[in-house]
Amino acid sequence: MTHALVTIVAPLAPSRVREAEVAIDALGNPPESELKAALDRVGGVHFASLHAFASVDGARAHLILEFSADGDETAAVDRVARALADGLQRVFAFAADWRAGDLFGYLLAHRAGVGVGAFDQPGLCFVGTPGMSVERIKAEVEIAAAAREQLAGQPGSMSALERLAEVRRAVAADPALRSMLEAPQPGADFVQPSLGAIALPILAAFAKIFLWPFGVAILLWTIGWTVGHAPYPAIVPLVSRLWQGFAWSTGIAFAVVLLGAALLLFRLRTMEGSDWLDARAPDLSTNAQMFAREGYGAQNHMVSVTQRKPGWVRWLTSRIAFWIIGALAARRYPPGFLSDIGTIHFARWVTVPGTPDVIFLSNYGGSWESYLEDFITRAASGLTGVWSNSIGFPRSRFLFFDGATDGERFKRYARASMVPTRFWYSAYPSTTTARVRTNALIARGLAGALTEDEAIRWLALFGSALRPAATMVNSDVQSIVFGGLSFLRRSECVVGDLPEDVDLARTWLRSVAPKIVYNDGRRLKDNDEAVICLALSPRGMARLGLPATALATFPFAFVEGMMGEARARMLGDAGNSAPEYWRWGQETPDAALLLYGNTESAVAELAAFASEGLTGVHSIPLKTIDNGKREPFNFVDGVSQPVIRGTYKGLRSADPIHLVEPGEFILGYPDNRGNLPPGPTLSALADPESLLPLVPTPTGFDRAVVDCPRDLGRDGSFLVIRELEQDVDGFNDYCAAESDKAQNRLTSPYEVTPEFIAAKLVGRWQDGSSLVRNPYVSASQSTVSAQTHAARFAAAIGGAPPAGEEAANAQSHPTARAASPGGVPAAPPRPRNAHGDNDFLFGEEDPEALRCPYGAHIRRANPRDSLDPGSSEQVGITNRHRILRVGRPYVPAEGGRPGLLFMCLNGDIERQFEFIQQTWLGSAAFHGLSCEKDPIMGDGEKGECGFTIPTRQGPVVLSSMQPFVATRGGGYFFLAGRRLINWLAAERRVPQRVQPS
Amino acid sequence: MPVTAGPDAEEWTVGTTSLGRGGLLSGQSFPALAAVLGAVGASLWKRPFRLGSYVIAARHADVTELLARDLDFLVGPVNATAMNAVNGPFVLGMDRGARLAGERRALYAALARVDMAALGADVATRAAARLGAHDDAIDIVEEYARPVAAETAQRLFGVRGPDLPALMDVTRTVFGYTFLSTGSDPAVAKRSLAAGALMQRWLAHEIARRRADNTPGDDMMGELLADGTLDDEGVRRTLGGMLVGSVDTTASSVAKIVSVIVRDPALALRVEADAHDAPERLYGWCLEALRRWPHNPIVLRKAARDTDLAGTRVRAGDRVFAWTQAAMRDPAVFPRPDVMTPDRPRHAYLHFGGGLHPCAGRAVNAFQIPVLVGALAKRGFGTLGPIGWAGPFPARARLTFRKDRA
Repeated sequence: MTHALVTIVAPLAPSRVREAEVAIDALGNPPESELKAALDRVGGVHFASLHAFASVDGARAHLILEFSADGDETAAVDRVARALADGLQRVFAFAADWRAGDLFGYLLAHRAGVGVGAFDQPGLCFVGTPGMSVERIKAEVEIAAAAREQLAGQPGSMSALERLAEVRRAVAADPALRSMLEAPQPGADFVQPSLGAIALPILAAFAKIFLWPFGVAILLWTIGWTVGHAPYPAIVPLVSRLWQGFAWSTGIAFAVVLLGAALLLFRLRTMEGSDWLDARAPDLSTNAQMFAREGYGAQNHMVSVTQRKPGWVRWLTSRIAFWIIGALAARRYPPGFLSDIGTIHFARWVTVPGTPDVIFLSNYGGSWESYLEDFITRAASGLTGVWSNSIGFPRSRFLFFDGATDGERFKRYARASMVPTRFWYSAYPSTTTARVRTNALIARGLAGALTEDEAIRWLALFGSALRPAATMVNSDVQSIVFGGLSFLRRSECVVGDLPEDVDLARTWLRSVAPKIVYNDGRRLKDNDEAVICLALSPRGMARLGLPATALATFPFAFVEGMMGEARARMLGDAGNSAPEYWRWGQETPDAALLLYGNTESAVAELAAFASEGLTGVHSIPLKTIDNGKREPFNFVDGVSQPVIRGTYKGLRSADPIHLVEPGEFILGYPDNRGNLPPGPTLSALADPESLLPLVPTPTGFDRAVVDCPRDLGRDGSFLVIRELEQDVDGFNDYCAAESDKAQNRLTSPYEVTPEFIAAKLVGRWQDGSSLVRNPYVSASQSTVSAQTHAARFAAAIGGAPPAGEEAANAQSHPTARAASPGGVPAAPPRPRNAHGDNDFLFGEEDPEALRCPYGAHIRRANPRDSLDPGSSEQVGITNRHRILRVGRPYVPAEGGRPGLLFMCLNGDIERQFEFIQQTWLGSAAFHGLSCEKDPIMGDGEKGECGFTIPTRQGPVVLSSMQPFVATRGGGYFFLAGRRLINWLAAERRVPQRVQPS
Repeated sequence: MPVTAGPDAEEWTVGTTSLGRGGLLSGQSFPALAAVLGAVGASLWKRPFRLGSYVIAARHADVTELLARDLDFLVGPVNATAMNAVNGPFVLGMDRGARLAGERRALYAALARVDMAALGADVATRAAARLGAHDDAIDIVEEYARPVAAETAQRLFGVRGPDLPALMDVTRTVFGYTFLSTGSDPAVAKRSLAAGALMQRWLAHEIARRRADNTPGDDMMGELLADGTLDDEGVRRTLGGMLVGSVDTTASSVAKIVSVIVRDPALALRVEADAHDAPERLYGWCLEALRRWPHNPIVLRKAARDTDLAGTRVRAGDRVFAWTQAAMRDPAVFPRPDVMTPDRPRHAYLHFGGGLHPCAGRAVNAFQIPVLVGALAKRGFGTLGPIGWAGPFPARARLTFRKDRA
């Protein structure tokens, strides 16, 4: 599909311009309805316009017929001549050389071509909708409107493919549109080539067009040299002569070209410094006439008449400018775009043959003001390159620079050069180029989208846009990922096994699926009914029909489970924590249901409902959330949490220490380093309905993606559950005993109490305030700021600095200085309170661990910059090992010990949960320590060295301790995204892997 | 005209050229040599070749790209005419559009509902039974792979035919005409159309019978009928399209695999050992052997518009070849392409094509072919007699079992 951009130029006596204008005016802009109908009828004409005007110097006048049509030029001229026969005859009758009778022949003979060669009239044609016929543009307008109307009437709760299928059914019922469902038109995504990749072909093309005379000269010289000096018949001297002639002539030609270029540049710069600038304001009455003809549809037309500056320099530079723009438009910009401007339908620069008159004609979308602004802000150099060759244009530099960037002067010049468009036709006046492109995609997708991902992409064409890869589909992510749902105060965890029969297992899943909640859970606050977050183990997914080949693509840790021997060693599940003492989880249950609600009865009711059909059910009732959020050792829990970019929390708080990319927790999204980690996949054969997400996400409708592997991980997260029993008495006794022992070891300003010992072990006070910021007393106990507190002690001991030298400096706010790992500007200091006391950096504020010991639980669990003080890179490294904790204390059995149902979410269990557990918490060598492990976390074999509290007076060493926390159950689960849950719940069979016998 | 089995069935030839009839192109060596040269040439040329109005993609990435761009490189102009004549429209002759979307979904949904585990066990039983009757040697095509594949087709698609030989004959005739015909021999066309009509009738009868009895069945026919997307005619077309490509492809593949393996006694021993000890590796061996001698070395498409394929200009109407055999020697994806190893990544192979139209029977042949080859391997690969050809298909290949097998 090609286009014919035809420009017909006929000579007109300057004295007859006015008469011709009147005749053209009669045709109308917008056109007379009969004329429009006639052009519509012949078809294949996008735009047409007719003009009469005098040259800038008034010496000449021209009649111009411009049109843009489908197919070849001759046929297009014929169609236009037939459609506008009477009108054109009346207008061209004013032409100086008009011969009545053969309009078609006359028009053909007066076509003005464009080109950049020495024998061409300099000019350029540009098509903004390449490959698109009038017929196709109009048909796609129809199909897009029909689709939009269908979609408007659809109910909720349908998959994107179902919506698409319904639209297809409706379109198939319409005889006028039915054919659009087959044979979609191709059109690939454009990939912009680098300048390096196109430099060589462009240079070669330049040499071919502009330097060919030198080639001819070289050839002639070489022949002449050889003939003149070659009386020898032998071949060798002949070749040598040829070579000599070629080398000499090429060298000379090269020198001449360089000299010529230097001379051209010098002359150009001289002229640019002295050229006359036209500062006239546009003529008011002409302006009025132009405005009267603009703004009727979504498009407008402009015609501008200027005169090329005299002399050889401009003769050459105008050609070079056109050539460069044409070359870049063809090779560098997306099809239909001129630099970044995509609003032009058809435009052309034409030089009237035999004259210096340069005419610019453009059919563009939007207003004149927006069009000119586009030129000023997006394509100033190209426009300047062309137009600075015309008399009066704002001052340019090296042909392409400045000029049009001087926006207001440029617009004045442009308006002053314009004449009113008295006749103008558009085949689709209310359709912009952007709409043409979108409609093409709508039509292509309507006919050819085969998968849910493509259908989602198709729906986005209606008033939305393609989802950026890092933007989460919140509505497909289970609510627990957005936070611990603490506003739903009642909760319970139920684990159990699915029926072995796949159909029964699916039936169960279908029954609970409506209760599963997705999206940010805040809207659940006032829910009367309880809700479920559902996580599955590998066996659970297998029982729901996920093929073994697909399970094998899940990470090893998840497939092996928490029970693997190596994993038990890694996690410290030995001694009293050994699996034989567990209450559940010796074999990972198939499903873990986290139930949340506002009332106990709602949760209990849902638990009973959801347990129906499960076997081996084990229920772990969780404690009602009170305002304190205290865990059994009486510490406020959950103060420090990573915040996922793009969630509600992530939008409100952007503390760079804690802000992480979605991919750190949710599969299918880029992680902190910008990579999209590979996830578990399923063969396309197992998803014939094509409902699961694809790897990779398709971006258009021009590639076959239906056979791509399915992304099972998308919108899911790995859930680690561990039931941790806490020895509260043991912990308290230890703290009391150690407090007694250390009484005399530490002097003022220390107040050694059991709470102080506990705070040193944990790294926070029980009220949640940090040791880093509150080294001597917790924030809630302190009635004055930590600083004045320290000052008071300093004064009391006679002006000496505090013995601990740990006074927190409220003014030194490290986050104000620490750049975020992702390059996000650091957040400004925020007012502090115990709960929000989380914006500190260990390394920056407490590099010697005098406030928060290296071995303290929170310093081990999230060292922040501790291992490289002040380094934002280190914060970034640490943030590769964050977990999102969503656990709650459980309700102990009668006479049993209290504890925590620890739950956390990970994108990668090995890199996150297990890494923290093994490398930080469980390592006796963490941060240069020796033989001591995390004082709190469940590790059956605590270190031998107790715990080190560094002080200025040397270490205070606490006795070795018995484990305070014991593991009593647990498992690795996958908190699947909505699309996988739906796929698992669907009623069908899937292929079984068959081993060759 | 009834199409029946018998000596006459083997007289059918493809097109007018004799190259395909056991000639140069049907052999193992010439295409293999060409593929070696093609792969080397492609890696030097770094883009698809152009020969007049033919464009040939021989690098793995180029072949994948070509097959993925189904709007630019069409399958309809290549396959539709012959396919529509003998069977009626089938997805393999359709380009992207709403019709393809609906029919493709129905096909794969029905296929996914079939119990492939049961079918796999069934194939193994039948293969063993056919082998059991032969002590020293067996014709691995006519007495083994072809009838087993035909029975699998009967079970999977629900079509019976009057008897197995008739079904085999009809599918061979129709398949050769639809996909491999290089000429326009009126006799071939006439015979193929007759065979196609017969196949249509068999399928239509069975569909009507099940409708009347209200017993859709649990094979693919039953699942298609239960699915309800396609009307009975659509079900017939879909099953016909599947059936045509299901028998001789399998039989040819088995014959070619065995032929490649027996050429190299050391290789034969390794495959035999794996058949006993590590049957999961057999599929890898089959894929590798087929890489030497593929069932089909090229896939053809037609360019829809002027465009660019990996740096080579393509004009509308050009015939564009995906040279899968050469691409499976692309060292970027198949390092040391001369080495046979069963452990290469499975998704790299192009035997089943790709893009919008990968072989729909790939799930079946992923177990059927290794089962057939594995059962032979357990008997011990001895010597393979000369292959007799029926058109482009190996029709007879007598394998003598190795006497000293463990």
